[in-house]
Amino acid sequence: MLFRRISNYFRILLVTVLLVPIPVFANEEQTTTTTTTTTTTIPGEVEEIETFDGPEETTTTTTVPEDNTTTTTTTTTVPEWEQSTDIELPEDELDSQGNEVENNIQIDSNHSNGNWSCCGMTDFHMNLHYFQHGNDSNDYTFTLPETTTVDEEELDIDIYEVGFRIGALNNDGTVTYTHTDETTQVNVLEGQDNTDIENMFEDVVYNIYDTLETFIESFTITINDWSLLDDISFKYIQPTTTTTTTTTLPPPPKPEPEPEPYIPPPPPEPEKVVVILDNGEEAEYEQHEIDDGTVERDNQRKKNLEIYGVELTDEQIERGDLEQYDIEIIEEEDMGELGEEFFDDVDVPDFVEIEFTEEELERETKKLELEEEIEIFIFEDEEEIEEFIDTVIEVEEFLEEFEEVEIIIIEDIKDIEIDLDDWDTEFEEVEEDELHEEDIRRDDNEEPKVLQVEDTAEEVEEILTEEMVEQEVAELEEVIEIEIEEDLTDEEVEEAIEVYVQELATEEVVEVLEEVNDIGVQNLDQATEEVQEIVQAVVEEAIEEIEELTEEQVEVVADVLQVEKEDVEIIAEAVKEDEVVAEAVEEYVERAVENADVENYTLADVVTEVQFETFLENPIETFVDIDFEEINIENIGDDMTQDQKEKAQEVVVPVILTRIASMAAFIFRKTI
Amino acid sequence: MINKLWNWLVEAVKETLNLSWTLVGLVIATLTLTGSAQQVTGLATVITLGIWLLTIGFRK
Repeated sequence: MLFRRISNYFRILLVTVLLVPIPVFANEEQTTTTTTTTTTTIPGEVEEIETFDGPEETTTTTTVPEDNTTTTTTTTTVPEWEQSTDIELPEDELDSQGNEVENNIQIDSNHSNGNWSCCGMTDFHMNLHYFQHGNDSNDYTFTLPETTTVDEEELDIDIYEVGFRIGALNNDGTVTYTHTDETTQVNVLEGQDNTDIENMFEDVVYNIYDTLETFIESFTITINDWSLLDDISFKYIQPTTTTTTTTTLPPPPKPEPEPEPYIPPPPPEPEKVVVILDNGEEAEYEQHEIDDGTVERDNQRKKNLEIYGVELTDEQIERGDLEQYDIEIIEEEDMGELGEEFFDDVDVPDFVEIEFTEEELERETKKLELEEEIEIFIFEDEEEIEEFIDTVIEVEEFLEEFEEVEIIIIEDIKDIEIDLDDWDTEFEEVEEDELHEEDIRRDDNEEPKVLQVEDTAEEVEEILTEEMVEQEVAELEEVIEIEIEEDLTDEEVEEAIEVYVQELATEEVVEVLEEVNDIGVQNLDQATEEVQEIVQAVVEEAIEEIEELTEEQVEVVADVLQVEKEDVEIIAEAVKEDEVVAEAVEEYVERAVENADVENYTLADVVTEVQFETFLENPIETFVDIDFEEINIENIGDDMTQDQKEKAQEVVVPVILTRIASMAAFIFRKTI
Repeated sequence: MINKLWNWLVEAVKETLNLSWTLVGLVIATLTLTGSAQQVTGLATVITLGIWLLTIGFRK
């Protein structure tokens, strides 16, 4: 019992002791404190707002006192929209003439306060998807600036917040923010209620300062409804210089000196031994070099240098290293065949030491071959002999090359097609090679033999054609600058091609056709289907625009259709009036490619094919559908191309002749 | 009358068959032509064939 009481008292005492603060005396030894203060001036957040508002409306009043009267002239400057930031605004697409394809973007002040008071717009603002409601969506991309100018210095900025006010948005749209690390964030722009027009807007803010470790590069608004946009803002931290204030620091305690590293004493220099080599030279070697055979190998090297002209050891020679130096060792047996005189007359080491060039070797060899001739001719000096040998070598080389030359005999000089563009280049290339050939032929005064002329010519033509077609198709594809996405449907591709061709200028149309002529329409099977379709569309376009073409350009079109120049105009007229001809022109390229193996396949063939198909579909109509007003006996056939006439003659004349022959045979048989 | 007409029809078919190769030639010729030439040839072929068939009796 007593123990319990004492225990309680102790507990109370302990708690009391703990509650009372007892000062603890630390070591109050005087110390030097070092303080390092680095102050970094963080520039404030900068916000730029694109309001599209130009200079404020100003009124200038000029008072001119004249005698006792005063004339006051007041000039009011009408404000215009103007950018206040470096944001790259979206612009309407322009056609080749510089006109807007669609007027989707307009900047005005029509909806701001004082006018329509619509949609939270102030002064100038942007109209997106102008005058369009609920059709296909369009993208409007705003690219934010990457730099800002501070004190005439251009500094990079990192934008972390973008905002804008969008109004009058009836349908849902999206806004896609593109970050500097190429990631994107897509947010929905909800359609707005139009019951309260003044408040029909939304302030959109996108801030990634705390959430992402990247910055905003641009944003794209995708909408399908006429909407208004104003007050595009963006925020960034303006980069500035960093100020550092440093208090005086006490000198740091001296580090303990490092112990000096142990440097072992240098080893005693090895003793050199003077050795007399096999060739009599004296050289210094260390003992270990003598022991490991270095001296012996050096002796071998010196010896082999004298014999073969290369410093190799005997072991290296045995393993065949001499071959690397184009040196061949002649076996003793072979040497015997050469005769002993060889050993007596020729000093081998000297021979090896002379290094002949390829030309000199060739000349020496030829000199041996022409020994007899050289003895017959009289030469004044060694130079003349060399000149003679060089000439012989050159002539022989030429004759060797000449055997490989393929000669093509051109029967009709008119058949030669000269590409004037390539004329200079080709001429220059040929000039150098052929120049001395001609000279030699003059001296020779003999015509070269022609071997297998026809066969060779045909082969060359085939090879060249294939190569040229591939090259020309590549050139054509370069000229046709159209990007067709892979996931498009056939209809969309056709539409894209149609738009592309319609936008082509006349010169571009002709350029495409010129490339087609270089290839040949029937060789277009090597091009892609898209290219074929584009060429087809270009042909149609050229026929439609025939009146705008110059004579040269008409000739290009004629070449593509493989008709006479005068016929192009006839075809252009026929296309307007005759459905069959129109269809033939539409399908010309496709059918020409299909009939690539048919010689001289022209538009006339396509017309006949189309007519035959029409006849099979409706035989009666072909003969009955006659427009009598068009028939004029005086100029009958004038609306036919020359090519068509020729094709018709090829058919009509035999029919008539066959009929006459059969009638004659019938009469003859009856008479008998 | 019906008998005469029937006989003429039989004769017309016979004559047309006799002319088949010629007609094939003329049809091909017509299809080879374009414009007014085609129309004239086609019309001439049809009219001539009609006259030819109508004058069977006369020509005999």
